[in-house]
Amino acid sequence: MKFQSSRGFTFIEVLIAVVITSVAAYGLMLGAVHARGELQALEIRERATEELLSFVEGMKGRIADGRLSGVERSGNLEGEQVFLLGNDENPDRIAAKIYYDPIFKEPADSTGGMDRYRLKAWITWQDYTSARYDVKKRREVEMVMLEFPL
Amino acid sequence: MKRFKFTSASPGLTLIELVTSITVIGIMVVGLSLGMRSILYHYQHDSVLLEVRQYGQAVMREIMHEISLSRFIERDFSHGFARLRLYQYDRHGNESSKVISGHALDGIQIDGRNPVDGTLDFPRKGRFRDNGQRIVRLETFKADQRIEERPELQRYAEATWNLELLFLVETEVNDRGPIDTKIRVRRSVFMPNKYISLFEVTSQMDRS
Repeated sequence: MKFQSSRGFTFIEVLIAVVITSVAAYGLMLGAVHARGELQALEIRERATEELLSFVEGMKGRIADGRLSGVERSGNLEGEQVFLLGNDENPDRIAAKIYYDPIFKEPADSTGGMDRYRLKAWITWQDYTSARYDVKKRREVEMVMLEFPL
Repeated sequence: MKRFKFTSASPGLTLIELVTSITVIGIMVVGLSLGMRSILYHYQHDSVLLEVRQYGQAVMREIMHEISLSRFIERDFSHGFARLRLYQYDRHGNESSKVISGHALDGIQIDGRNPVDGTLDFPRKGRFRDNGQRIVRLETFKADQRIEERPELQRYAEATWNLELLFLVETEVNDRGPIDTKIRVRRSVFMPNKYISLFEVTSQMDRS
């Protein structure tokens, strides 16, 4: 039996293997960090939805009450500030703004009797957890609400 | 008998090259293991936070549903948490009541049971929480009537409640000592039945 000549790895080959392994491991870690960032972004999105729905619930009551002032009916396109993370005194905070379009009465339907109003509200916030810092995210909700005929 | 015969010498690595390779690989392994440890820790922590957050959202939806169906609501405090007694009426006028209370280690209870017909357990136990790895508890359950300064909005304010749940996840596995993570769930809820009842009461008072 005769063995062929076996040179083994050279130093350069070992170093190249190490570099390739390092790059692969770095990629894996980057993926894990990115996944974590996405999870945080999802959390912020949930908070934004929560704030928006709370606002809409409040407006539902105001519309049912039927005492919206002219200014309130004309919408809020400047935005009302809320915090999705932290507060005004906290440096680690994420601020958002809630807007809504002017509120108009919907045409009366066949069931009649009740005035209906359409409310379109949305929330925007800067997503600091994304790779790009200038991403502005938005959630929107549009509902028809009743004014109680009391 | 055949003899083994090496045709040429295998040069392999010199001692210096071997030491250099081992050092480079060693540094890489240390860096990788530290990174992996951190990833593993965050994976475990985020899994628990996600479960607590889902519980918070689900339980808040359930509370809102119950409150929105109620005509009257009474609030007092028990063990530092708000306790709500809700009075609901069916279409025949039959009254039923429900009590929503908060407990540090059992979360929110409706009539002494877990929400959603007893199926929604407080995520105190489970993966990455056993053996004191993490402690999950309900820190705050607040329910406050909305405050409005304008007198014409008093009925609306009395029929609108602000709810807040605050959960605390205390992690013991971290080297830097325990770390507390807070998860806050906040919502407002309008009670149409209560609003109509308030209007009826005011109308009766006006007539008398």
